Amino acid sequence: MASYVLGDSVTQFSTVIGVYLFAMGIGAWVSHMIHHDLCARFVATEIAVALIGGGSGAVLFLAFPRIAWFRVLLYGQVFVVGLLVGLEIPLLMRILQDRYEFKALVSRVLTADYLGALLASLAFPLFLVPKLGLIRGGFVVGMMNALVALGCTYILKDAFRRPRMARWLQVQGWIVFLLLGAGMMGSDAIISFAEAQLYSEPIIYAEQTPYQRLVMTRGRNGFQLYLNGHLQFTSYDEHRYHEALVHPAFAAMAQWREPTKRVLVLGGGDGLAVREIRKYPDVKEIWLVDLDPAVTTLARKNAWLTELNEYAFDDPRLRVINQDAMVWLQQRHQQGLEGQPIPKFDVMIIDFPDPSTYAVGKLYTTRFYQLAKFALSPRGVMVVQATSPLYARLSYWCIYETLMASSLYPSAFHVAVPSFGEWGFFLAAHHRFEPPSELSAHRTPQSQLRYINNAVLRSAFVFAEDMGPVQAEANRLDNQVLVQIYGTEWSRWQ
Amino acid sequence: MESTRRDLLHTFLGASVAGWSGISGCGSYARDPSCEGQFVDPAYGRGHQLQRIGPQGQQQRDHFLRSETRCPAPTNRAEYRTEVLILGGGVSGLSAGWMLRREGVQDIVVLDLEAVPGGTSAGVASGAAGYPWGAHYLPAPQLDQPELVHFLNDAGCVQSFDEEGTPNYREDMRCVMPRERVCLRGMWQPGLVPTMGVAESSLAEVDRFFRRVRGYAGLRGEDARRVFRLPIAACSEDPSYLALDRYTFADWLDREKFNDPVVRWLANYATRDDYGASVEETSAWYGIHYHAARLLGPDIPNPPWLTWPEGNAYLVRHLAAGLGDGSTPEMGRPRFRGGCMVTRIWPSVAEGGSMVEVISEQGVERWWADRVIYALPSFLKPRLLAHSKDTFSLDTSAWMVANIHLHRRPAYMGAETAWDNVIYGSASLGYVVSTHQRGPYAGPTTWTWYLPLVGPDLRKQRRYLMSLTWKEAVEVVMSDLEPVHPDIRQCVRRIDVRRWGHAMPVPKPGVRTSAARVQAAQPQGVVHFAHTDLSGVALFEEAFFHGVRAAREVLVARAGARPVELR
Ligand SMILES: Cc1cc2nc3c(=O)[nH]c(=O)nc-3n(C[C@H](O)[C@H](O)[C@H](O)COP(=O)(O)OP(=O)(O)OC[C@H]3O[C@@H](n4cnc5c(N)ncnc54)[C@H](O)[C@@H]3O)c2cc1C
Repeated sequence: MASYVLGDSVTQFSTVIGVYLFAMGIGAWVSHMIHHDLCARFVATEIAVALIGGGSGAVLFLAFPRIAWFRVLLYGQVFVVGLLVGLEIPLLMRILQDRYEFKALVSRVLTADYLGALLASLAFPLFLVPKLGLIRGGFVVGMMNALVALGCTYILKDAFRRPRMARWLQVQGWIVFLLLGAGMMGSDAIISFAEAQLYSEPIIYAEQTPYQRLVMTRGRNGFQLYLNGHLQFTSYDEHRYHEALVHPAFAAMAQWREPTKRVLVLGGGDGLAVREIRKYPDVKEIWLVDLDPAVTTLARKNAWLTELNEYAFDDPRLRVINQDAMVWLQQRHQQGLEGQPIPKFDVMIIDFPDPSTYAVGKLYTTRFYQLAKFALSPRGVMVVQATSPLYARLSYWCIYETLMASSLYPSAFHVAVPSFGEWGFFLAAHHRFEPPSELSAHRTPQSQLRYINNAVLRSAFVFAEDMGPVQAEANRLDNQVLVQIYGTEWSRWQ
Repeated sequence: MESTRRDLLHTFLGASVAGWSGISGCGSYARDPSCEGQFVDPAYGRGHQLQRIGPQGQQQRDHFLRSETRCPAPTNRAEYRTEVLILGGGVSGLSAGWMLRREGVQDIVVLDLEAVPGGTSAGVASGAAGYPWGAHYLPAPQLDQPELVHFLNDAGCVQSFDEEGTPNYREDMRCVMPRERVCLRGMWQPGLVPTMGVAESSLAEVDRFFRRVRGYAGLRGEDARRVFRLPIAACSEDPSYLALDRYTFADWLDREKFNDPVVRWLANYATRDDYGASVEETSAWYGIHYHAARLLGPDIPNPPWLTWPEGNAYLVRHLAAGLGDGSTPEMGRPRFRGGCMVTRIWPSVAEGGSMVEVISEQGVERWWADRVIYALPSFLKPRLLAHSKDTFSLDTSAWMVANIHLHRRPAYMGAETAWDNVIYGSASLGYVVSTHQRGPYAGPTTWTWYLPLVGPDLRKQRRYLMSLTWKEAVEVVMSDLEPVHPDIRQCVRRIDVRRWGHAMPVPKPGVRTSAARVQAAQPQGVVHFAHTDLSGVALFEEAFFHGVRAAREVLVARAGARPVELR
């Protein structure tokens, strides 16, 4: 959740975890000052957890776009829930210890830490990973908490010093329970309302797939696609990005007088890179590998997208493979080793999300590039989307180092995409080469480029001082330094 | 009824189940799981039939066979011959086969109870989507285990060797970052040891603990041998260090004043993970061995871990492939023969060979061999081996392993999913994500969840394990994972559970220095011994070592008999 709203990075999570566990410590300390009426205090705490924890998901989503000090609210909630849970555990231990039937159990198996894990799960909705649908889950968990509190008032009735206290808590418990219940009933409305608040433009499409949440928004300047809250493109300037992604590679091939018959796109299920590739009539096959079938289906069917990608998915040359790119490359590598004839690609376009998590970071490792290299024809070229050399300079040059360590020869270039900022890529080949200086002329006559011309192409390979090469370590599967670097660099801009 | 069930589950998971009952005051444990699944332990029952046969004799065995529903009555008594007969197709047996084949021995047969080789290193391989049933990783061996490095090179795990001959292991076989995460109070954090939410003093103690145990790395005894290394047989016999074998690791921690709860948990996690025993049962010598044996010195970084989606079954596949199919014209039979339960071994019969009695699907078989390699668990030895002179006995712990097939990834709080996901304070060891090495990182996957049944009364634990129904087993798994993944029940497609009755030997104090243990590895007649039990612990390296050692003994004996043949 925090990661969904604030953009995920390793540092981000460390802060949340730190605040939460710190608050729990304080809670435990406070609990030592409570000497009387343990049961009542426990039940009251439990009701508070139910209310605050259960509603927190909804509150955070609703609050995010509205208040400037969102972070304060987030950490505040984390702190309060941590405090309450931390308070609750020792209380519960003490209550149970006084009761004969639990005594053996407590001494034998009930460790504070494990019980802690259990109770912390009650605070779960606060931290849930990017799944908006879990706002409802939050309410449900909160309701369960309220029931636990209510249950305690009945089961541990005799442990209450004042029966009136128990009854009062019961009333409170029921109120919270009903409130949360109402929240749950209305959670669909809350979800769409909250989500609408998250994006600056009105939402025109939203879908939760097993892999991610897809959201399309539309405003005056065109429409946008978001995956897990990360902007993929804005229709008014995506042409800059996709032209830069595709045409320098074809320019290089043309300069080397190499044919470009077979082209591979990894990621890029929106079909926008394919749209650019289709401008070259000598391309005979286009392969598109994207993990999520929902994305490629959307790009094939959605009217906004089909218009933007110029019905790329209707092209008979295109074949779509919905699989993890690394798994797919691995399989081809394996088949190659087993002696099966594996057609190689003349141009490979590698367009993955930024390496903000280890899961995506894998797609930027020496292992990955070695597999990619295997799929590349001997005189072919690949292009890699490589984050921003300005905002994440070390990350960018870390990818360069990784390509080098994979025995590829990379050549760095960058363009300006207003909705992203200064953006960087690499061309890479089996051999050393000079950057291309002239666009390929083998385009269909009607396919004008809107952004790139020969001058822009040449200037893309020129780097200003503040984006130039820096020393970095290669990113390997078993160290994943890039994710850590990227997390630190990007957190400066949040 | 309800209360005994509750007791039962307490025994497994204590805290979590107790936690729920403590809070809710009600216990409906055997909830109907909404997923499919079953027990997957083909050999589990059959091993126990063997126990019932006992060493007594033919009469009882025939009786057993009649009562055995799956086997037809023993009308035919097939007789076979082979030069070397290997009993047990686990890592030790297969390693022996690999070594013998490497030295050109043709006439080998490996017999195993199960249809597929692997024993406790078995797993399911299917491209990127495999998963283990037992052993799942191997710390990358260095040059002090040349034979093993040689094998790993054969198995395609080595990328290159540097000038000194140090192996560089393949990137996709080294454990992918992040290797571990730990869940403390519902919140996952990176690494095996929690660093957030624990006291500063605990962190200092953890640091002191690591420095202390790693201080033994590279240390040499009076005999100039390393105190801790692999294989264990090559370790120093310096009595001042062997003294560590007189008391438990828990005693050692007490002596060294490691009373911090985080350190205690860590030490206990390590022994449970590697030896299936708690610090209270593990000898201090073995407790330290885990931390020090794989390092050449205290300041040398830990070697990478090698792992595969299907776990060490990857290595098993290569060991088994090394056997070859044996379909030479003379033999015309595969070298691995599954579904064969060894029931009796006569170490020396007429003509100086050995005779082994086996029950297979076809009935009773008799195998005559010049040499036999016994690569079966040690606890079976008194029952199987006629005139066994063995006095070595080990306690064994039971394990429960569940493969949880998910159609989507459950939610969690905190750090990103790692290869090994550990729950602080839980009785389980957490779970390993089978798709971690090769991806994909979202969508369906399989988690392998491990629970060693540790405790002072291992037989009781084993009985508990056997008495569980599949539904209860699922409930044990779920009640462990639900606190850290509240929506897990909605993500599960299928849960298969494997019960390992005698999963691992328990390295109690005295095992390292036991003369009987060393004696148990000595050949009896033409029978040679190879099993990881002979080291007192269950490790790939040890199983491999004993397999290769037994194969060497056979090669030497063979050379003595027919000197021309040894290459
Ligand atoms: C759950 C679990 C996890 C583990 N994880 C790891 C790990 O991560 N890394 C590691 O290094 N080690 C691990 N181990 C230890 C593992 O046991 C060793 O690595 C190794 O597999 C031992 O091989 P072995 O051949 O000595 O024994 P076994 O695997 O026990 O082989 C004995 C074989 O004999 C067969 N057999 C038994 N009785 C009979 C009979 N009567 N007739 C015929 N055949 C019979 C069995 O089917 C089996 O195949 C783990 C063990 C378990 C149980």
